[in-house]
Amino acid sequence: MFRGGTMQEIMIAIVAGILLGWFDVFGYKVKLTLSRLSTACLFLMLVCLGAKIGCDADLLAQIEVLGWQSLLLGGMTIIGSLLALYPVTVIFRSRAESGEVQK
Amino acid sequence: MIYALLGTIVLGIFGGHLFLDVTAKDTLDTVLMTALDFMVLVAGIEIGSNRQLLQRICTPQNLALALAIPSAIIIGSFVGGGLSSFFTGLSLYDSLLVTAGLGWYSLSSVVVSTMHSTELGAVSFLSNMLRETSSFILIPLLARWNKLMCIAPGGAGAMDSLLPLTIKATDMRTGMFSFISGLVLSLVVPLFLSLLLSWR
Repeated sequence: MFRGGTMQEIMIAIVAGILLGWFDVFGYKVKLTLSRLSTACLFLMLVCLGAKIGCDADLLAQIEVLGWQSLLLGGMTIIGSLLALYPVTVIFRSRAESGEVQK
Repeated sequence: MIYALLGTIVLGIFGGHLFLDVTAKDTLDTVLMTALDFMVLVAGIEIGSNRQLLQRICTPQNLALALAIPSAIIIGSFVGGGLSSFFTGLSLYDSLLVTAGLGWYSLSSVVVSTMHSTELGAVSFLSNMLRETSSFILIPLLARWNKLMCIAPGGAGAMDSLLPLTIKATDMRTGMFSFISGLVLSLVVPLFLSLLLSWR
């Protein structure tokens, strides 16, 4: 997450979006166009994210030195998160199946 | 989709390396933020359009799930990050400090580099950025197996940059849990960093 003090911007965007959706401001065709533009923005964002890494020679040099530590640490946090979340999804899925949780 | 996402990131890295220098970072940040704001707005519209889902999600069981997800991610991240100290050569404290970023690399790297060390700040940046970048690949894969598992890899990024992809790869219900989880994690990152730095 690259937000540099822009938590407020994100919150405004999501709340504005929820309100626009809740009051059904846009028709189906507009929503479809917005969804397609959003997909285009996803790819634009990934290009920029990659470019931010690629344009920084210092960072690329650091990747060579510190990259394996970062890769291992980042990888293990992901694995840890997945292993910890899995039982939660199983418990709540079984509750959902027994009708306790509304899907 | 996965290959397209991965290819786009690689294309960006090569493009940035060949055609841009470090002064382009500010412009890239502006483009990134504008694209992200737009994507989050559209994700919000999609969430808001599902009134029935919003009403149905407000049950005690679903609220419990909404809190259980970030709690599990926090525990799993710290256990995984702590165990990584056996392999990386970093101390347990350093590993936990880096893990405390929970994917929010811009905040954690600045805090760690200014209040601890520049080198660990770089590890924090790279580690948390890799966590987010690899999530773009992992989310479509995990969605085929268990939708809720898509929320785990991204950490705090689940509420913004990864939210549109999560909704596309899964469904609106998972998207809502993803947003709540990312929000909770974003709120606790500054707390964990402060707490760990005060123990130094």
